[in-house]
Amino acid sequence: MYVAVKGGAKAIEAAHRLMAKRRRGNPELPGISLDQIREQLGLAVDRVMAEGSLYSPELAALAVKQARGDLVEAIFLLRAARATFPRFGYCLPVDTGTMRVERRISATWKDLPGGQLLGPTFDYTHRLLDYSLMEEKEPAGRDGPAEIKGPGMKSPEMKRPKALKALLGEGLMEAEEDDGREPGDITRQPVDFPVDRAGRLQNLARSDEGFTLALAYSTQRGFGSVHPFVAELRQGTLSVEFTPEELGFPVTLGEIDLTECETVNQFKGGGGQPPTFTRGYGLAFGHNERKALAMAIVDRALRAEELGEEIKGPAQNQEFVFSHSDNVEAAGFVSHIKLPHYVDFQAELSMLRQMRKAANDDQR
Amino acid sequence: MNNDQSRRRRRLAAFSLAPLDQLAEGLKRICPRPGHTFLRRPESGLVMVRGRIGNTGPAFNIGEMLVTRCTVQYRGLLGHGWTPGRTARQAELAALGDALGQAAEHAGAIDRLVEKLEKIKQNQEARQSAELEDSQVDFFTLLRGEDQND
Repeated sequence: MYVAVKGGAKAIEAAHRLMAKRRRGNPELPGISLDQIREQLGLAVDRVMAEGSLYSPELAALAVKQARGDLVEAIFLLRAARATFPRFGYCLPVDTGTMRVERRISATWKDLPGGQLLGPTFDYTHRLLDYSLMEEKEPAGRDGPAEIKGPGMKSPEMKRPKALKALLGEGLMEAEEDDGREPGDITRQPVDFPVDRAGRLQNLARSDEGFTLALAYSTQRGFGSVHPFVAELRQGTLSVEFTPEELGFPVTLGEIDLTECETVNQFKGGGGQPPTFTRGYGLAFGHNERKALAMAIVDRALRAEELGEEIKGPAQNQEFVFSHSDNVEAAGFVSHIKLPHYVDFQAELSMLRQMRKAANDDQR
Repeated sequence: MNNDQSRRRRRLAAFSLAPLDQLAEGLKRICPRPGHTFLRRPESGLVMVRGRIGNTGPAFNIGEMLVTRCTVQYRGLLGHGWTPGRTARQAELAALGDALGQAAEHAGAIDRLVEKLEKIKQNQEARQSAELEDSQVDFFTLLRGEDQND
C-alpha cells in the first residue's frame, strides 16, 4: 500500500524546471516545431494518437514534444488531455471500402481486384542506415508534387474493393454481419468479463503496440494457435460522419488516416455447417501497420472460446489481454513503486527483524 | 434527405475539409462584413469514431476524434459549423458559410465557392494518386524446376 508523504515541494519544483531545460536541450539549436514533428516524425504522432485514443495530430505532436520523445509518456499526456474535453457523441461507423488508399497489399492473392499498391513502406528496404540523412541540408526529395500528366491521364483509382469479397461470395469465408446492437464503450462503462468482441477490439485499438506485438508473436510460436494469412492490409484516408442534434442529418467532420488489417485463418464448421475460413480484424488510427496486424492476430486468438479451440496461451485469455494491454494503466502501476513507500517498507523491515529475533531466540 | 439538406451537407463537408485560408478568402469575397453573432461560440470536444468488425459486422469504438463546433446567427439565419481538430476560426467560418448559404442573396455564390473548394481538393487528391502510381506492383510467382516438364 502506498501511504502519502508530504514535503519536498521546493525540490519538486526545481526538478520540473530541470526537466523543462532538458526538454529544450541545447538552447543554441533551434527548437523543434509541432509542424516538424507532424511532418517528419509522423509515425510517432500516429502511434501516440492510436494509443492515446485521440485523433488529433496537433495535440499528439505537442505531447511528443513535451514528453521529449518518450512515446508512452506522450500517450499518457494525450489520454489526460482527452479527459478534459466534452464528448459530443458517436460517429457513424466508417466504411473502410471508401478509403482513399495510400497503401494496399494482400499476401494471399497476387492478382487481387484493384491491384497491389505498395505506397510508402519500410518493407523491402535493407535496413541500412542512410548516412546521407546526416548531412541533409535542404529536402532531398524536393521535386515538388507529382504533375498531373495532362488530360486523359489515368491516375490509379484511390478507392479499391475489399479483398475478401471474392471468398465471401463463394461462401468460403465466415461473413461478418451487423447484428444492429449498440456497442458498449469501455471508456464509459465498467468492464465485466467475458467482454464481447466489439469491446475487445476497442481495447486492442488503444493497446500498447509492444504488448500486442509480443502477444501476436507468441501465438505464432505456439502459445495459442493462430495461423494467419494477411488477406488485406490497407492504409489511407477516409471521412468521418456524425449526425449533430441541431441538424438531424449526417455531416462530414473531417478526414482521418486509418490502417486496417484483415487476416484469414483456419477453419470453423461442423455440426452440419460446411467449414469456412475464419477472420481476425485490426483497425487503428494513423499509419500503424505493425499494430493493426498484431491486433488482427490477437483478435483472432481471443475468439478461441467462441470457436471451441483449446486455450493454451496468454493471447487467448481475454482477461489477461484486456487487463494488461493498456500502457497508461501498466506504466502507472509499475511506476508507482518508485514513489515513496517509506511506511510500508518500515513495516516490512520491523517484521523481518522480529522474525529474525524469534528465530535467534529459538536457537538459543 | 431533401434537396436543401443535401446541399447543406455538401457545403459543410467542403468547409470542414478546406484549407483555412481558402475558406476565409472565399467567404470574405462573398460577404466582407457579415456582422454575424455567436449563438454557440467555437467549442472543441470529442466524437467517438466507430468502425465495424470486418468492416461489415457489428460496430465497435476505435477512439475519439477532436473536433470543433460553432453556431452563428446571420440576419436571423442559423449556421452550424463542424470542423476537425482545435479549429475555432474554421468552425466559425464554416458556420458563417452555412448561414450565408441559406440567404437568398448569397446562396448562389456559396454554391460556387463549394464547387471551387471541392475542385481544389479533387486536384490535390489526383496529385497524390499520381504520386502513388509507380508503387503499383505486379507480383509473379516463379516456376520451380520440377514444374518445367509439366
